[in-house]
Amino acid sequence: MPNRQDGQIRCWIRWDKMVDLDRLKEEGIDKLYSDRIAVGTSTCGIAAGALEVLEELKSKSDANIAEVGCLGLCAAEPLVYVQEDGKAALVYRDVKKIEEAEVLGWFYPWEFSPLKVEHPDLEGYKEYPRLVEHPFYRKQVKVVLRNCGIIEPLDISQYVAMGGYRALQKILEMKPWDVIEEVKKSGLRGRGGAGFPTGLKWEIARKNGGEYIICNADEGDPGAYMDRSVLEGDPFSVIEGMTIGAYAIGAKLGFVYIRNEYPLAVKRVEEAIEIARKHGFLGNNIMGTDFSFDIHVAKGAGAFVCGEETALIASIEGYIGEPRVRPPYPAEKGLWGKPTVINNVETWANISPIILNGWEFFASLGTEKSKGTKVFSLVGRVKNTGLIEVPMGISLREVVEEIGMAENVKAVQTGGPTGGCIPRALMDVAVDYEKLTELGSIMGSGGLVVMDESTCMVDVAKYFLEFSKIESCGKCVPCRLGLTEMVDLIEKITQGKGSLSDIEKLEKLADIVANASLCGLGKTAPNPLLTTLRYFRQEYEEHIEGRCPAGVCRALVRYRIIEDKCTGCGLCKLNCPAEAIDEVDEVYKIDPEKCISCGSCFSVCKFEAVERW
Amino acid sequence: MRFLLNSLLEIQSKHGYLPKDELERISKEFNVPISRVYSIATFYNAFSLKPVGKHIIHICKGTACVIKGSEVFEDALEQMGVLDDEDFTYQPIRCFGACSLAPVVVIDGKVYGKMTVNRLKRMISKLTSDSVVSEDAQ
Ligand SMILES: Cc1cc2nc3c(=O)[nH]c(=O)nc-3n(C[C@H](O)[C@H](O)[C@H](O)COP(=O)(O)O)c2cc1C
Ligand code: FES
Repeated sequence: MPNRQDGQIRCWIRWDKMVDLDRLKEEGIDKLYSDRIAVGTSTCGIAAGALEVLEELKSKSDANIAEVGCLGLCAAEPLVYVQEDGKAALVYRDVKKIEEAEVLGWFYPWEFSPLKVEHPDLEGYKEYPRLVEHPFYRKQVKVVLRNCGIIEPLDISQYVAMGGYRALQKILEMKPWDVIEEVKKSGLRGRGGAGFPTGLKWEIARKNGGEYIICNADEGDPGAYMDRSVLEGDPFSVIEGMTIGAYAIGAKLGFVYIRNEYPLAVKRVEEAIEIARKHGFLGNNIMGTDFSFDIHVAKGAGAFVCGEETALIASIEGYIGEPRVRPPYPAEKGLWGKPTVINNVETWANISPIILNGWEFFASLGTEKSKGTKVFSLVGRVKNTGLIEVPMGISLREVVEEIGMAENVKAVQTGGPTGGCIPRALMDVAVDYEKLTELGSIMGSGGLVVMDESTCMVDVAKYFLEFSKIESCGKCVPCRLGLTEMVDLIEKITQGKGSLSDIEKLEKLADIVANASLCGLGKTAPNPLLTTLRYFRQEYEEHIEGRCPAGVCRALVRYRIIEDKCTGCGLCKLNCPAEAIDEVDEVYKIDPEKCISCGSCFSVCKFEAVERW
Repeated sequence: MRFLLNSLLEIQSKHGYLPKDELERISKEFNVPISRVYSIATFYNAFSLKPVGKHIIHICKGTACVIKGSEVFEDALEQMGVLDDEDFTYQPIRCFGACSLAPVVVIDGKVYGKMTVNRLKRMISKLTSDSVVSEDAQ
């Protein structure tokens, strides 16, 4: 086998290993457009009861039933769609029994994908709305999520029918440096949080003699599930992206590091790797060329800090997940001391569309410095919770109020536990790496948690500081001790025992922790505190005066039931976690001795009979 | 290719915890000192060195779930005596990735979205009487 050298073009040497993409495509088109009923069975769908729906469908009908990934609108799950008689796909929402389910809208299976693919002509529906006109979908532009919810995730022929592996085929006839150049020109930046230019990272790794590729699927940010959805719904898109990356930097081995809390994603990726190998897209002599590359799955074990690239590398090597000092960066000295490219799941899933449609396509989306699209998980106090993909530059307000249809928003938390809370008044900010940083937050990996009047901002800041304190690996002093001290101080404030000087102390500590910590965890951990202090300082002051305006901080609120308003329905008693509510003469009463001030009764009462004071 | 963490996770899921003799076996197999295996077993949240109960309950304490009030579930478990019951093992988890259906509780590996205290209490009482959770505990 000829030795690979820079600038040399691949030779097609193994005819027996050549892959017939056209044949796979035909097979995939047959499956995608035959009559079928598709059920979304990602983790979110399953939690909403999709498996029960699936069972029922299987027992009642002999139709061809497909299990697909997440279509995005998780609030309406279980989602089921039907394709029959040459018609487009008709989606039903909140399916318990298919006969009784309500129609959400219809779509053409190919219409979300930016890749030009062959498909039959399907007839639309006049009597139902189009999905692309639904407020949730109207402003979305799908690149990463192009196949999610459309294809059966482990059917490689359907992936190919949607344009899969054409990009790999294309780059195998390109020079590695040209591939890197293409990615550089596209302006793609890392989607794992920091936004480092991907092409540049690849260039550095190649110059150092690139050895390994890693896909960071640790997704430790609570409230975020973009990466899980991509891995569960379209694993080949990530595998193809990694294979292209390996070719570009000259790596022979790759790793997907997935968190253990995502058992379904782990299983899908493991199976997808096996299938890709069997079809000649991984392993020796990929697609009949002299290029060889293989991927292994390494599992995380429940440590947030392992999402940090150097800690992740330590974890794969079989050590505890302690970050290492950078530089040297992984692209210079990474896994087992060798140059390693580590990119996020979403970054990898962007690669094939860039290659296939050209860098201009990608660069035409987004803002001057933030190109392309971003996937977000829109959760919290918002009507349309779900997974969305929007062009960079869209305003947070459009995302939260138009797509999410949220009302009475107080703040939006971006960037995960070490991100910041952006108040409603500033929601016109464009989604863009630099713009979000200016507001004291970060883009992060894509969790958007919407908060309303029922959320206490001091409590939120406490929650995140506690999170970072617990997840701190403990290696460096500012992070380990500083965060502990900060949690104690803010705890005092939420109990109404704080003073104004505690706020000052918190600010000082925040400065030290942010500037003196070793890794990104400590450096960004003060963000939630700093942004809530910047935009909601008044709430801190009210706590110091002994009031929690949102009624969340337990030490500062009490509950009682107004007899005249109580209808005796008993919902409060059923939902009291402390068994503090009992019926006395056909109305309910709270026992103040037992009450833990959690507010459960307050939020479940339909008659406003529970009073907070 | 074998990874230390993957192997430990396999043992954890097989036994529900990491027995000492298995840790020693791993130390030999991977040719790393037992102290390092032990440090790994204590560093990562997924591992436990003590046997677990018949039922494993996870409450999500991720951001989306906490915003939707998941913290009261822990109070309910405490009130029901689950936290001191050897038959139960309770572990809070930071996010299962089902945030759109918050608040989320996982009982014996099955994910339940849009949980309420009422529903949780019923499911737990069912568990204490028979051993399979069933959804008519709605
Ligand atoms: C505390 C901490 C946690 C992180 N967690 C993740 C994560 O869960 N997923 C991820 O892709 N990147 C995470 N990162 C960022 C990675 O260190 C790294 O920048 C990223 O994987 C690079 O890929 P990208 O350039 O494609 O974004 C984290 C960083 C820090 C400091
Ligand atoms: S925050 Fe609870 S599942 Fe994500």
